[in-house]
Parts: sequence; structure tokens; C-alpha cells
Amino acid sequence: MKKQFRKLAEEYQDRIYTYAWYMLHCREEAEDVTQEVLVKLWQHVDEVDPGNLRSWVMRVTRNAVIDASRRRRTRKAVFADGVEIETVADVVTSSSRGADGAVISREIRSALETALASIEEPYRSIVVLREIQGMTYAEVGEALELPLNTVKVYLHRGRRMLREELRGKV
Amino acid sequence: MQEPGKECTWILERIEPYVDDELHGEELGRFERHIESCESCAKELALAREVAHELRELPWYSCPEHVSEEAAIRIGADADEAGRTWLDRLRARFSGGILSMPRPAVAAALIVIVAAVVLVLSQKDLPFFTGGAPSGEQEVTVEELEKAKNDAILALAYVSKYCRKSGEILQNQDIAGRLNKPLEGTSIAPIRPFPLIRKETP
Repeated sequence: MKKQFRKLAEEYQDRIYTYAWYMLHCREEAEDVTQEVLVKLWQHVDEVDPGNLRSWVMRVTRNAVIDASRRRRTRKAVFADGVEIETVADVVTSSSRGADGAVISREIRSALETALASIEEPYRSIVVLREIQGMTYAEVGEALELPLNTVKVYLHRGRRMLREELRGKV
Repeated sequence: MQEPGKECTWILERIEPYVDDELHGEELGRFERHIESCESCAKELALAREVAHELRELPWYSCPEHVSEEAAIRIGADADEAGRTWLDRLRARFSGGILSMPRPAVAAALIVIVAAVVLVLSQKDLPFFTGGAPSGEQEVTVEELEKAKNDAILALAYVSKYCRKSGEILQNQDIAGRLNKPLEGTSIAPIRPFPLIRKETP
């Protein structure tokens, strides 16, 4: 059982964790969400059509992220604490290399991540799933339960919002 | 011919679809003709392209190993739990002896033990003090009562210190690590170590 679970975890954990991190900007909460989703994945993997498994996983992840956000709001209300938004930009060295070898400046990445954290749902989810994680429009639509054309329109709106945020900063 | 302002508005509405190669035919032609002659729209298109490019370069993050290990433990524990009786669970709960007991339970037990010891020691008519049957009438002096009370207070103070320390440990280990500090000034958070960044190949 452990071997089968490990194989499943290796296939999906980074995808789940990356999405949760971009949505919550908190490492600890992202870890909690990932663990929760991995457990649910193991419990339900036999019930899901293999062709839709990725979309199913991301739908469950999104719901877990929403629950985590609600818990965070409740905690803030009870403990009156703020939530520190982590960004990777501060720990990335002054330059890093993308897949094509281009140098990506720390400032651009920092500004982009901050801008991404500021746009509302479902635009942020769509941008993360489509642009960062490379899911198809159909997969994104299934994960977020949105029609395909709506996904396209929302993606464009999300990118336009980011453009507005970044104007003058890059 | 349309006013430049209106044409630019038309162009701006189609910048993102153009970046995604979703414009065709006459629409595409009209878009590209305007971009060639309008510096402002050309700049906007350049920014849109840069945003799209940089988004696709944002990294994936490696999930820490302990997350899947803890999930595996949960899954294993859930599978085992289904076949256990209440007695099995109780045995498992205290299989580690006193160290497996919850801290409040340990603290409460200590208080009871210490208080019992102090009360016993203050009773001089018990057989192990008198060497035989308790004497008939035995009076306890005010000083002895006061000493017993002070001993009990001291014992409770030690237990209270232990509980406070345990609470601090709990807070540092289990709670403070989960609570986040409030934002300070900027929207950029302080540096934290982060797991290895890797890029997935689609």
C-alpha cells in the first residue's frame, strides 16, 4: 500500500503544493492542504475516471484552499493576528534562470507574485492553473466547474488585472 | 474612419486574445495595422506579452517530504483504526507509559500525588510514624498545620512551574510555528528559507 501511495503522492504533491502556495502564500497552510488532499486522493482514487483525475485533484485542492482561507479569517477574528504573506521573491537570488535560460530579474518576479496575490478569485486560480501549471482550458474548466469560454475570458481578465498592477513597476 | 481613442479602446480589449493567438482574419489584420502605427498600444502589447511570459516562468515548488510521509501515516492509521476495539485503542494510547499521557493529565496526577504525600507526612499518628497503632487523642499544632500548608504550597508552585514550562513548549512548538506575524509596512515579507525550486517539464 505504501508503495502505491508514494507513487501517487510523487505524481501530484508538487502540483497541489504549488497551487496551494500561490493561493495562500503561507508555507504551513500549503503543507496542511497538500496533506489533506493526498489523503482524500488515496481514499477516492478508484472512484475517479483516470482521464479526469488531474482536474479532480485540483478541484479538491481548491476546496481545501477555500477552507483554509476561511479558517485563517476565523483565526484572525479570534486572535486578532495578521497573516504574513510569504513570497519567494525575497529568497530568490538577484537573478534566476527560467526554462529557456533567460535571466528573470528579482524585481519583476517579486512584483508579479505580489500582483498575483492581489487579484481576486476565480481569476487568480485560473492564472495559476493555466499559466503557471500549464493545464488546458478544458482541465481548468473541469477543476473550477466553469465553461470553457468563461475560462478563456477570465484568464484574459486576470492577465489584464496583473498588467494594471504592474504598470509602471517593471 | 474611427477616432483614435475608440480604436485604441477596441485594440486594448483584444490585446490578451492576440497574445494567445486567438484573433483571426479581418480582426487580426485590423489589430496588427493599428499596432504598427500606435506607440501607446504597441507599449501595452509589449507589457501584456511580458506578463504572459513571466507568468509561465514562475516556478513550481517542491512539496517537503514530511508532508507525504505524514499523509501516509494518516492513511495507515485510518486503515488500522477501522479494525481496532476500544480496549486496543486504550492500550495503544498508554503504551508509552507516562510519557505518552497528555501533559495536563500528568500535571494533574503530580498535583494529586504531591498533595497526598504532604498530607500523609503531616499525619503523625499513622503507623509508620508511631511504630504501631495510632495513639488515642493526638493534637496537631498550629505550627504543624502551617508547615503542612507551606509544604503543599511549595509543591503546587513546582507543579505550576512545570505546567507553565510545558505550556511554553507547546506554544513554541505547536502554536507559534503555525501563527503568522502581521504584515509590517510593505507587502513584501521577510526572507525565509524555502524548499528547492524545480521546474516541471509539461
